[in-house]
Amino acid sequence: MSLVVRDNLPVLIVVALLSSAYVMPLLTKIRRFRFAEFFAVFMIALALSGGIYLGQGILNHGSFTYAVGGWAAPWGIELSLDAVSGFFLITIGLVATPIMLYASYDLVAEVGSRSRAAWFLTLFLLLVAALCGLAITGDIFNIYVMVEVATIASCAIVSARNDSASVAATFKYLMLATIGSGFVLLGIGFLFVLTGNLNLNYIGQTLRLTWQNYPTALWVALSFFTVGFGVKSALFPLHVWLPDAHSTAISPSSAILSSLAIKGYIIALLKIFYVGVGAQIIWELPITAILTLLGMGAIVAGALFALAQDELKRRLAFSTVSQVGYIFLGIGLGNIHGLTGSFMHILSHALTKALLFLAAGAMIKRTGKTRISEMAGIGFKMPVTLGVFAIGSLSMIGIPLFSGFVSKWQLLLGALAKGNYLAVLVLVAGSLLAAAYLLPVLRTALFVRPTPTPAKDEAPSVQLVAMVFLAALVLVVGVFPHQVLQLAQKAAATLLRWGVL
Amino acid sequence: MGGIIVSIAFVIAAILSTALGSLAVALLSREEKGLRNGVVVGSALLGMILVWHLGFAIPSGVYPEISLAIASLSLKLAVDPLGLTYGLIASTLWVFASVYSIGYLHGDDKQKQYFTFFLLSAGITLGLAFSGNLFTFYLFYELLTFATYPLVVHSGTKDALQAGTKYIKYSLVGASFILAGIVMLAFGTGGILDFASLHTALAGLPLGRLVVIFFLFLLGFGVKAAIMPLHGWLPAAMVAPTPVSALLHAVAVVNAGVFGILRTVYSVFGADLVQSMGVRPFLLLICSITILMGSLIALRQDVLKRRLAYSTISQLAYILLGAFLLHPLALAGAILHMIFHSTLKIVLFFSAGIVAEETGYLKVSELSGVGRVLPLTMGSFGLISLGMIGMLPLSGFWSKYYLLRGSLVTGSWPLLVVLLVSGILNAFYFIPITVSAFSGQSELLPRKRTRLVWLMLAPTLVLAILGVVLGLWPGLTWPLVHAVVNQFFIL
Amino acid sequence: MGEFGSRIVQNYPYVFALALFAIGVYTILTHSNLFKKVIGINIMEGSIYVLFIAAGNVRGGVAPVLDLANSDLVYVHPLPQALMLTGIVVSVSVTALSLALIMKLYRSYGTVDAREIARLTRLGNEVGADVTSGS
Repeated sequence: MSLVVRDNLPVLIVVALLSSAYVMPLLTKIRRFRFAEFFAVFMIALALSGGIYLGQGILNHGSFTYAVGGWAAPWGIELSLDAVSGFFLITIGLVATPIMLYASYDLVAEVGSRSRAAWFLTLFLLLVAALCGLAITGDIFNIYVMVEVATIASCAIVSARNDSASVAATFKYLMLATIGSGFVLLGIGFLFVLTGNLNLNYIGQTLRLTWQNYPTALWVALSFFTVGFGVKSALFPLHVWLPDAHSTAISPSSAILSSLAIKGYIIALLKIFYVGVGAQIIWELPITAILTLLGMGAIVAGALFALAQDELKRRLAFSTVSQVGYIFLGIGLGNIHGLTGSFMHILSHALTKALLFLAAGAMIKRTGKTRISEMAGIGFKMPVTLGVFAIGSLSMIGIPLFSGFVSKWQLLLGALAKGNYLAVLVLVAGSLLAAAYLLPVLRTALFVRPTPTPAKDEAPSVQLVAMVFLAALVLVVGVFPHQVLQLAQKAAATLLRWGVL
Repeated sequence: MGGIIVSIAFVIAAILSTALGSLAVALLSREEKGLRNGVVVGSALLGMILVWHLGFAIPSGVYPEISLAIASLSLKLAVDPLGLTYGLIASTLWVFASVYSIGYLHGDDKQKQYFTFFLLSAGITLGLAFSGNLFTFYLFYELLTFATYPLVVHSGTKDALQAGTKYIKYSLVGASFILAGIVMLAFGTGGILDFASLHTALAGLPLGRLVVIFFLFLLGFGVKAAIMPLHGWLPAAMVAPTPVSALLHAVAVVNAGVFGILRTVYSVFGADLVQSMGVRPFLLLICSITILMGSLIALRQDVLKRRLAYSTISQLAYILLGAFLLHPLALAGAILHMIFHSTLKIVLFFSAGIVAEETGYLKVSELSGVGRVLPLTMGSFGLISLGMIGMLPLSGFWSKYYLLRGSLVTGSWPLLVVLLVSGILNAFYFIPITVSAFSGQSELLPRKRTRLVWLMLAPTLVLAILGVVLGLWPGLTWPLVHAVVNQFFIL
Repeated sequence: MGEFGSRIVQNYPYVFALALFAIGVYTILTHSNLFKKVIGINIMEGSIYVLFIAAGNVRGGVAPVLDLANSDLVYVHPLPQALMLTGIVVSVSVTALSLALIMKLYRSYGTVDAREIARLTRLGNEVGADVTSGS
């Protein structure tokens, strides 16, 4: 690889995605071979390879920083490439590529017009660019900018089809997300006032020396961050925008929203809490207890709401609310196993939820029905789709050999290390509830006699390839998690400042 | 023993042969019945041969194992006498059940689905039998639930679907308890979950926590082992096709639960530790309750398969009784009963299935005179039910004998009473069936035995003869039983 | 009260900013007219600008335009002002997007009242429209 590319790789990933985003409207003018869509897939795949390269480098050589534009910190924006960045970059790449591949099949028909397809591609690439930016940034205001780009892009992506229901859902999402951004910016303001710095490392150093003088201010700032990022990552009880957004959006939008966009905000929260403020201070304040409680509440409440839904996509939406609870529970536990579990769950849930939403989309498209009770017996006509849905369900429940088990195991160990037996109970109950709301879908689709209007045929091959790819990853991460788990552990260790940075 | 190599490859090959057979059935088209039947019987047979070959490990004393590390957990396959017991029972009876299934399901339109999951369950059962640590055990245990579900709901009726849901609910809740126990154990031992080394690793842990983990395992495995009051799924699951009820719900799945409890008591904790926990009286009490209640409820069942189901619930508690007595003689009785109950009960279910297929009768009250129509079938039923009661010359006598001796030696007089009373109850609900079958009048005429009936009858008869053979020469099982007892008791 | 009161008076810009923030959020959440929600967003974001810029204020400082001639000038902190320029851009984008969405909603539902729109959406769902175009 050319030296220029390699030295500037972190920034180039984001820049490449941003530029290709703005080129999309032009490219969609080329009507042959669905050029624009496949170009988008190609760009995201490039970002994935960049992410893997960086991740390998971080695993082998340790973290490093990159000054944007050559301006050194604290004056310039500094990118901090550590195990957290590597982990999240790889997650983004692995999940966004198949989603884009799935979307590329007949995108124009999905959203209704060629120009809207162009905007969809632009927004999708912008969202991926912003998420990559969140992964690598080390500057708190840069986090804000990336969060805003991601928010606007993910809001707009929900209304891709431009029908009234999705626009209404988008407006609700936009309002709530902006309130969230407001809280985040307030929190940033507080930290800036307390420390005068914008670079996360510098903020951390300064706070360690001075926070005893302003405990209340710090406490308030952390609460603002929790609320702000909580709204955006659909933490119960701030999740109210999610079900509507999911049931009205097209499947690729739902998939990337639930699997990646939400996680980006959690990564931002992790960076601010553990790099910006630091584990020592976090442990002294009761913030982790609150996150644990919210997490446990989310797991149970989300699952219970999911049980009550007959619409397939709404059920999956509440499932997301429940699974985000797992991640926050891990953050709340705050030990190495808890954080490793959170990171692994970020990856596992991203893979699994994207898979489930894409499969659900295929099922809804082929049957014309949105409710589970109306989908009896479609498994016979769509065996591959239901097969991968089954793989996704088993992973969500947490059966060994699937990726969901790896994260669940880490979280259980983390809960035991903290002596939090209630968390152990909630984690186990969460799996049972997941089985309760996912297995009936399989049962109806596979073992009940077909309704008079069954599915026409199997989903198109392009979409099947995308889904099978995700399913294969779920299995690979479940059976051979060693490399990924090591990266997750390193990410957790970096956050907790154990070992080499 | 020079020249006979026992290696872990045989375990992997056995599991693979059934798993690949399952895949082959899934890929073959619906029409190729002959080929499919061949694959089914062939892979079951291959599995059985490979597992029997592993039996040679016993005389040589060399027990192979293999581990595959998955991050901090490892997937481990190992051969040991206890695992061999379960593996031999399952793999052998699976062959018979395959032949029987082909006859029973003739004309059914979902045979492809049935045999796919039939073989898959076989592979998973073998994996369970030869698991070398708790994590592998848990993995196969969970997978077994999912692989057997399609078999339970095979007929697709509302009752079948409800029974399937009940089965999954019970099993998954049980599995959660097991997972909770495993993670607590792993946390205490620092990740060591190997059956071979758990004893020593547990030494330092506080007794209170060990008791909690023990009861978590008991609750979890107890669901599949149908200990009362966790047995509710089993009678409901009798809506499944008879070979499923016979093989899975009298042999593979319920024995998986019993196997799990045996592993818990002996491989994980060890007889001494369980003794020091002071839970033995409680355990023996719940076994006794299950034994007696199972038999009492069986008396009131008119549907034949449900009567057999409650009989199974009762008989499984015999095995657990022998396990919980914590004495070598009792353990010998438990192992013998595990072997003999499976081989005998499967005959009873097979017979019930033939009766249902040929006459359409499902209830005991309808069976009068059926013996003249189906003499071989009801004859086997009658003969084997004597074994259930525990009479010579059937194998069932010997397992009861050792259980009684075990109770005597440990001074558990109430258990002697329980065992004897249960034997009498068994007589009360088995003998009248045979008597009415051969003495009453039936409108049906004897008919020529078709080839299909022979597919079902032959395995039944062979296994019935086996029941007598093992009753006359129980010594055939001594090497295995001795190996198991020696594994866990230093004599 | 004296100590606390004087601290509030000393930090009046921040208090004012937080009060304005609360008003903004309240407006967004409680008013059902969509336009008012957008106004609420602007109020909320405006309050944050106040907070930041007040934080950067230096008493007696002049605007942060470098004057090389005058070497002992005290400048106000330029960083918050730069940051808030970005913030204003974000706010404008969000406002533009919201207004575009409101126009679409008005065209579809004929109203800009959020409660009315929610009611109409729910009615539409109950009728059970088949979703065959797109998923």
